[in-house]
Amino acid sequence: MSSVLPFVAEQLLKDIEKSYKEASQLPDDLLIALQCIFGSCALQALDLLDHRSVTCVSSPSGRRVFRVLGGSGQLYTCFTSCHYCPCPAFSMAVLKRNSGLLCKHILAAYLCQAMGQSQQEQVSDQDMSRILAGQAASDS
Amino acid sequence: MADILEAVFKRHGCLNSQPQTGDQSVFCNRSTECSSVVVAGERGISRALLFLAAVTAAADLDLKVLFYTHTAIQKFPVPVNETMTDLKPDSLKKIKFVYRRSLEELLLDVASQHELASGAAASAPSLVLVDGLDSYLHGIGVGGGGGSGGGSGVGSGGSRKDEMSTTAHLAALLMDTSSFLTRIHEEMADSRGMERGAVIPCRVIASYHSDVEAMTADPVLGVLDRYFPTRCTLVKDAGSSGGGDEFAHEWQVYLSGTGVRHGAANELEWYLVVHANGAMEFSPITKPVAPRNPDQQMERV
Repeated sequence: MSSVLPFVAEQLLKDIEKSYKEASQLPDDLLIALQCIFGSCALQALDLLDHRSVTCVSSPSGRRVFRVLGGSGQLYTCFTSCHYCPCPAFSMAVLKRNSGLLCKHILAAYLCQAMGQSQQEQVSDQDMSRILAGQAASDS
Repeated sequence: MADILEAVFKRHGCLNSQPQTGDQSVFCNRSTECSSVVVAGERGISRALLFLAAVTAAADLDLKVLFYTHTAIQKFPVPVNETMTDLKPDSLKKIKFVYRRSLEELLLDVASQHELASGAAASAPSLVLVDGLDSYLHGIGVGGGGGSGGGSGVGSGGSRKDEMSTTAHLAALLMDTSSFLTRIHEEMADSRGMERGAVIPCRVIASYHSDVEAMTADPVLGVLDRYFPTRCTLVKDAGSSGGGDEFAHEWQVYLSGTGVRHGAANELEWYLVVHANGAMEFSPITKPVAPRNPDQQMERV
């Protein structure tokens, strides 16, 4: 068990970043690799990217975090430095069953970072604290 | 590697090796991810070990320490004057004790560290200690739930699945915060023209109360192991003599997990004697050298 990505997944994200910078699209072999490593999460995460559901929130202190709008309309605060997402899939598949590396929301945040596609939002330091603590008004 | 705990074991025991104040050679790993530890064992001994870590880090290693605890510390849980004869009261000022009664308060305080640290990097802690994660996670003294969408705030009535998610949230927030504080220290080093290699990453050491029998099946401890690369397990030795002191208790201390240093087998297990006055004395368990393969011996003959 680990809260960081295995080397092969990290390398794949680096390849995606490089490839997307050069051609502004993902070649089939990288899409297949995504599917192989992350399973059904890969397509669902790409779908979240298509819907522009990922926002990188930052505050004047320099603290950053990703917020992902799920299909159900729920907003999830995801940590990528050490995997955490409050969604039910993360609890079940990653924490409880240990059958997955991460959920589609965290993968979408990783892909957004690699492809530079996330929406940007600036909040105050106090609001950032509430978001990180899971106590923002939009969480309830 | 649990370098700060290792420094504690060596400082308070038969080795009694005292580093020079601010000595950085004890920091064998300069990564936050590889140096954070969860201490699993009985509540009293875990709290005493965390307190010892706080005093050692502040006095010997010149680190700023943030110590979260659920209940106020009324008196020193460990007499430190015996092993730290040169302890100055000023050293203890580097330790900031923060009492947080509920999980929501703890989460918000940890989450707001970036507000205090940015622009005042000199005051940013290099060691964050959390005493009694179980007190927060199992809802002891917690007023109720809250923040459902954020996955936090499970009170005593929360389900096991929610408890695991809440545990993951707290652990991930601690790790993410320590990464941020490390970045603040690095930026300060850059602005002062110092090498980044001289920066001590922020570490997290948290204690979690669990019975030895329940540890293997405890899903919360399993989640903590996912985020904390090193586990320090404290097991009471039922048949111990306490080194001739009839009121003393003896413990075995095990370091395990992905964060432990390879090839350091002799530093992974320690004896701990807690004397009648509460003083803690560590000594390494030296393993006998494995006998040579008999076949190889035969070949030589």
